[in-house]
Amino acid sequence: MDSLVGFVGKNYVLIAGDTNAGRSIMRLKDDFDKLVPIDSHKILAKSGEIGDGNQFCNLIIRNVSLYRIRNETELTTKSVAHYTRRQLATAIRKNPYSVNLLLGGYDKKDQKGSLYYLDYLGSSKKINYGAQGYAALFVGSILDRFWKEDLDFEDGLELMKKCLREVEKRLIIGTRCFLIKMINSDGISVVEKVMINSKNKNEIEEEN
Amino acid sequence: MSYDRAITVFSPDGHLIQVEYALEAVKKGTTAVGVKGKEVLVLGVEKKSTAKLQDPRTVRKIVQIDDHICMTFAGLTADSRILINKARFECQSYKYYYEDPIGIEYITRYIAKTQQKYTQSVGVRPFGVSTLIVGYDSKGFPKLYQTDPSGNFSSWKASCIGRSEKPVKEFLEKNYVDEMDEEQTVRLTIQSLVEVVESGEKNIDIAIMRKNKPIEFLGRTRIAEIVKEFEEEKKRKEEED
Repeated sequence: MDSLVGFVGKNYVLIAGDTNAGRSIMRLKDDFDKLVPIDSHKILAKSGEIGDGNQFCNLIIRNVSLYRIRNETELTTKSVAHYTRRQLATAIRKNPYSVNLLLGGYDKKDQKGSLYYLDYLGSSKKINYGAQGYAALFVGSILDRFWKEDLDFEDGLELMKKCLREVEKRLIIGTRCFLIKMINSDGISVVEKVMINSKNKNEIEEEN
Repeated sequence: MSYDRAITVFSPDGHLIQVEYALEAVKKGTTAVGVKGKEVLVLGVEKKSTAKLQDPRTVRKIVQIDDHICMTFAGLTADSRILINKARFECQSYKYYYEDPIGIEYITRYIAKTQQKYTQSVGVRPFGVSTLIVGYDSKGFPKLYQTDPSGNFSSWKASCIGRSEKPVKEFLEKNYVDEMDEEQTVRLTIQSLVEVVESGEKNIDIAIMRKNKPIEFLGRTRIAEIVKEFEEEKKRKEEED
């Protein structure tokens, strides 16, 4: 039931996640932040079992920190993706983590953002745009059509809102509220917390 | 029967000879000084003069254990690497379980516990390392801790380990005052080292730990400036006499 959407733009990465946390038919929390910062320039967006997501993200964060303290340098997004995938792959046949992830990061060395798709079976793929959860069913075609390389931030944000609007419109389970974060050379920042109300058709209210 | 071979056992007069030998190894190491100010901590180390062809940047004696904790050591460098690695791992492990950054006393106790373990285990020898650990406690007060190969640890206002321990400690005891500001603390640290370090400021590293800020290594030019001021003051005093 989680929805995560992400794509790479010109020197930034945009990731959005819905802010619902629920169990069966009950919404337990409607301000749940699924976009977890691993270090100053990387976000791990988690979906799936909440407990597994917490434990797994904690594990990755601590090991990335340990690497940073030991080696006095930060890991690249690619390395973190590989490390994360390795953890998922060794776990799948022993004690699987039911988490599907989007890893977004900005590397100062290449001055480029990158996005990775990781799932609980140990898949990992570098992508330009993608989604996890039910959102993937709806936004795939939108992103296929409208995503271009090196989108400006304004255009990127517009595209993201287009995607989220579609998720809200077509997903029967209410997913109105989304949190959008951006990673660029300055680090991680919260772009907006959007509340989408399809009664107002194509209007999106900003929530602060 | 010799009570100092291979494993750490008590001698008839109640000494752990291996541990005392480890302390001797520490006394052979290059000097390290730690000074606590009112709201600042300063570490100073004597760097071993590097060979001509050696890259001096790879010899770092002041290391970060976590974002808010630093340490230095005197004694066997390779032994210290093990302790530093264990400490770094413990810091992240603590944060993994408790979500809070580790406390300075907690990590000191951990390092001291590790050192003690190796004085009471089969087939191992004690670490030939004393450490100085600096950081801020949960109430925000600066703290300086020292551990030694026996596993003892205690908190200090200013301390010194390594080969010039005695003269530097005497100097600190004479000149330390409570509640020094950053400038005074840095000057005291540099002054205490300058007397004992051969070939002067090129072989001194100074690191400043401020509250909630990452550690800062003092630049070469600044150290040279301060050393020059000391030398000029010394000359002036000598001329007056």
